[in-house]
Amino acid sequence: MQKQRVVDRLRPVFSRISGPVIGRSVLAALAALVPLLLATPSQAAAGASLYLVQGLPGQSLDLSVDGRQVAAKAPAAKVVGPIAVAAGQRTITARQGGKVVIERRVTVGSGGSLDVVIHQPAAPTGAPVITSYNNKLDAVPADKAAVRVAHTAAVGPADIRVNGKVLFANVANGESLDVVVPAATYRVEIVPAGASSPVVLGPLALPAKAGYLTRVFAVGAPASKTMTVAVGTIKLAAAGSQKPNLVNTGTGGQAAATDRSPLLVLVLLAGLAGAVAVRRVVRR
Amino acid sequence: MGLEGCTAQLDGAVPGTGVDGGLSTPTPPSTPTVGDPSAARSGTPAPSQRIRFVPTAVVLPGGAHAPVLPAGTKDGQLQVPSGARRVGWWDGGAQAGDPFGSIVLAGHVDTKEEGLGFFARLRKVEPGERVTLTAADRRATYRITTVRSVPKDALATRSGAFDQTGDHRLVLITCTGPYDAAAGGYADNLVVTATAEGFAE
Repeated sequence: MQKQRVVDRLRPVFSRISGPVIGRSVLAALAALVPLLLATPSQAAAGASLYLVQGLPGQSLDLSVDGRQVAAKAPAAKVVGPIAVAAGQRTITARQGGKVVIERRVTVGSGGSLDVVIHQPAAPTGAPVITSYNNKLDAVPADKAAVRVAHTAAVGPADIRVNGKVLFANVANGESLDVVVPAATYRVEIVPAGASSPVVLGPLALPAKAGYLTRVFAVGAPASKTMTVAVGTIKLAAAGSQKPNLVNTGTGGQAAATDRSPLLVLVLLAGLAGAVAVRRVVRR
Repeated sequence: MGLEGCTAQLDGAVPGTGVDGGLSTPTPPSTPTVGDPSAARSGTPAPSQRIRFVPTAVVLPGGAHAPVLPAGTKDGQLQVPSGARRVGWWDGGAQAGDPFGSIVLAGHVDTKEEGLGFFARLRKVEPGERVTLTAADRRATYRITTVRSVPKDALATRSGAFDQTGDHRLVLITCTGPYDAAAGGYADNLVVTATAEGFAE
């Protein structure tokens, strides 16, 4: 149906381009291309992006997606990507020296962007885990930055202090927080939930870049002094308009007629009262 | 065809780039050959995740409410939606629930056609009173801290109404002062600021 309409619309165009001698077969061949052209947007949407985050300090990992290696000997805090994949279920494998450290299946939606973090659980002695985070790619105003902080470190629930105050309280391993902030460099500290010390990580200077989503992954273990952060950025579309110079919200003037300064209103009222009094006097 | 070799080199990582006729069906996911691994854990938002939203209605002290629509800046002027009862949310500012920056609403004090506007009520509000922003099942409550008037040409430069770097606050703007149609209408802006009471819900 859709295909037919497009072909009909294109037919005169083809005719003009090729002149009156255009053959039936040429037209048919061109028409055959139309579904391909139409298919392109949905094909693009069927794709997705993966970012692999190496969150195991002290290891260098060979990372693969569906058996295809995408990074060799990735050091801790390395963010690999974007890796273009088809939407759906993908298998992520991390190997060290040929031996599988962990292998998990992740699901990424059509057009989606997914961070896949290979990291320690809250218990420093626990086996590695893989946690995936969907990247929110909503547009932000030009002077703002989107930030997501994820707790993927071998430590209990933490408070994330930004510029000295707790901006995110009680974040547990596997949890994350999204926020939109003015673009700036922030001083970030991670401390045990409900306490101000000992500092688990930081203070560190975190640049939140205008027009980007910055993802910050706390990885490592305070017990082994391997705490660090992995950071990745993704460009976002711009939203919103610039600061106005003028806000004009009165075009009638009626409010001015009723909205004198209180003193003026009193004067007017007094005048009115006086007038009424005078009138009353006159009537008598 | 040489192109097929090209596609093969891409390892199927970029779907939809070839022209070999296999395009009309989605690229089949290459089946993992390494058994059937268990699913990865899905990251979840922490309970302290802030809710942020673009307001679609504003409730002033006394309970009167009005619709809020996004408003952009054109030629330096905020394009407040027409209609005396409608209020504009500046689309370059903060959303309700953000940790930083002003969320700015501007509404008519009056219009030539309709007389007094919804924000004419701002002339009567006082510090301590509450303003609520809502959208579907979202709400954020603010408590008024200041009410003042500034010359219209100083609103952007001196009032800080549009500031996005400070603590989060609600800024309600309308017009006030003497009215002179020939001189561009009202001389001043009435600026009401309010601070958030708790987090947006």
